[in-house]
Amino acid sequence: MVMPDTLAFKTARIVDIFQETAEIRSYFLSLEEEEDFQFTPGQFNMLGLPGVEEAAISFSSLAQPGNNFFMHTIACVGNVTSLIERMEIDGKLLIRGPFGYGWPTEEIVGKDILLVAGGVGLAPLRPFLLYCLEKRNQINNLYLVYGARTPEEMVFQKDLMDWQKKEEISTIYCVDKLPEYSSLLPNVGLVTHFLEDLQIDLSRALVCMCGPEIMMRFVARKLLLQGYSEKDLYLAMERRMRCGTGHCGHCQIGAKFVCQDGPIFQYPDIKPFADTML
Amino acid sequence: MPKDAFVIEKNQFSSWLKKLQESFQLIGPVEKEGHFVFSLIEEVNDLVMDYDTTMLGPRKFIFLPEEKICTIYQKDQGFTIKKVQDVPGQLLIGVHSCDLHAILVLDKVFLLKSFQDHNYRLRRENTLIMALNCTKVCPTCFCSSMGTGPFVELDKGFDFLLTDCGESYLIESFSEKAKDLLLPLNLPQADDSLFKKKEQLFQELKGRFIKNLDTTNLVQTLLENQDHPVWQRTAEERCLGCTNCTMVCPTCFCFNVKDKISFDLKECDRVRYWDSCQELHFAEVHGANYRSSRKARLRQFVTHKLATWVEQFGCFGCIGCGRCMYWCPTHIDLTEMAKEVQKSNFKRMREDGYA
Repeated sequence: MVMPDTLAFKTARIVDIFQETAEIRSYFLSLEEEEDFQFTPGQFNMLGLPGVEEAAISFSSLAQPGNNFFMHTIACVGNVTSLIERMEIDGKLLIRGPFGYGWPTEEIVGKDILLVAGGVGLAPLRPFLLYCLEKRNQINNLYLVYGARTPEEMVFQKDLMDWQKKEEISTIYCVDKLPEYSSLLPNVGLVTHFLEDLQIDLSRALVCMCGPEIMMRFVARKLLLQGYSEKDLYLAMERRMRCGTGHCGHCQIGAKFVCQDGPIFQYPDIKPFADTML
Repeated sequence: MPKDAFVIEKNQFSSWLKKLQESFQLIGPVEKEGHFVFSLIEEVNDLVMDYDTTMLGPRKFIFLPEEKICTIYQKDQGFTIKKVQDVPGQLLIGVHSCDLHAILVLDKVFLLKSFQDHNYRLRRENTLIMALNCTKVCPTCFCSSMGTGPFVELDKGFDFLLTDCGESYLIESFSEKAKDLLLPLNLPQADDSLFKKKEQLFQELKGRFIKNLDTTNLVQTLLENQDHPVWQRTAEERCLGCTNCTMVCPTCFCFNVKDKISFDLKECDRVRYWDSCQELHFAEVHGANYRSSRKARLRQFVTHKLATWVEQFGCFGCIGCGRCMYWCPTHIDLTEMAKEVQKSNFKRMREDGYA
């Protein structure tokens, strides 16, 4: 068997750019050479440009069969992302991917699904949420609890409003501070305050969370206290990555390579290791 | 007795190497400022085959300290990538069993998981390894505990195996390439007596080890004691965070990537270089550093080599060469830390109500 090479670069063209918040943008991209580009919710690409190396960024869109479009939602805070921030439509990015294991799409049948996201952490969860909506008739209840510091810092505002209106999904949005007017009408408080009183049967629960590690720490602990089982919790881990292919060593958490064994982990697989906030 | 075992006089060995020099870059141990190092051999007589240990293992010739991954050319319509294509054929001479195991560990990292590293594969395919059964025990080495030496007991993954028998070497071949290279020499077959001598040398040497590590249940013991006080104490009292341990370790594989751009901005060399988990910024992301304390970084080194490596690659990451403690400015000894954890297994003691 010929194993994939580490240097399989692809060129992606920026098709469209949406400003999500002051420092977060979504980039709608299409591959130049390939007609069909498939990936699963939760996977990521190494996005790069000559001169600034690469950064690992999750897909924030759901792959569509037979086309080569995909979306990344990027907080412009590092070398790569700040340079991408300055790019315009038709600009070209050098990417490698898709890498990693995504959300448990095989596990959703008959489940009560709870998605918990914080800040830009909604981006890696969005494709899974869209996937759940597509397969809505196969699952039981579907919840999204999404928190951000302020309503302005919430990403995918249009989606958030759509989902708020939909019957297929129950949403709880919350912020630390509420301004006088907000179209989303979010609650005030941390996501951990809104995890009770959900119609979730613990025997068929599936929780997927993505956000700051400190948020995931308390969400996981709160849910475990409420009687959720450890194996039903899935978390998205973020670590520094230089290769995406399990070689550079930067993303290791104990015995796990976040790039290859993750970035989505079942809680018991990642909990035993040191150097996380979980 | 293996079929492909011959006797080669040391003089003939030298002249054979000189001949091989026409088609390979020869790499071997030479003396440098009171230590031994693996180096490109220009003069075959410079080789020191009875060395004890080298400063760096031969990994630096397969996984280079700094190397170009590819060149990216930027044009109006996108990018052109040129990968590294040509690497010289090389012969690593006199590789001790521990270092041979280290290369096989790196093979697992770079070639045998889900992705093959382009540069490593290229260099590895163009490398012949002439292993040498070790005859010296260092004060810091413990290969016999890790099952990686002092004699080579493998039958693949390398090409030749030498055993020093005084005036001559017992030379065994373990690959087709090696057989082809030995064929024109018309060497006499090695007889039983040489293998008896080899076995005798092996038994003598095994009894001389000073340093030992009991690896029974080691993985579990270390993983259960990630909060053991030994990490904090050793880090605070002795670790300078200098990264020497990871630089000299022959199995360390971590690297960082750096782009070097030409002045006209049209050409970019993507370069990788050895990185170290002991370095402060190694596990830093925007807004967090997951190993900001020396304690966490030291524990990462020890538990990775002696515990988590086993889950990742099915073998220990430590091959018992002792370089990390020899080159540590304060001689921090990972076997001592492991032993301290074994002696005072806090997890167990807590469960039994003692701590």
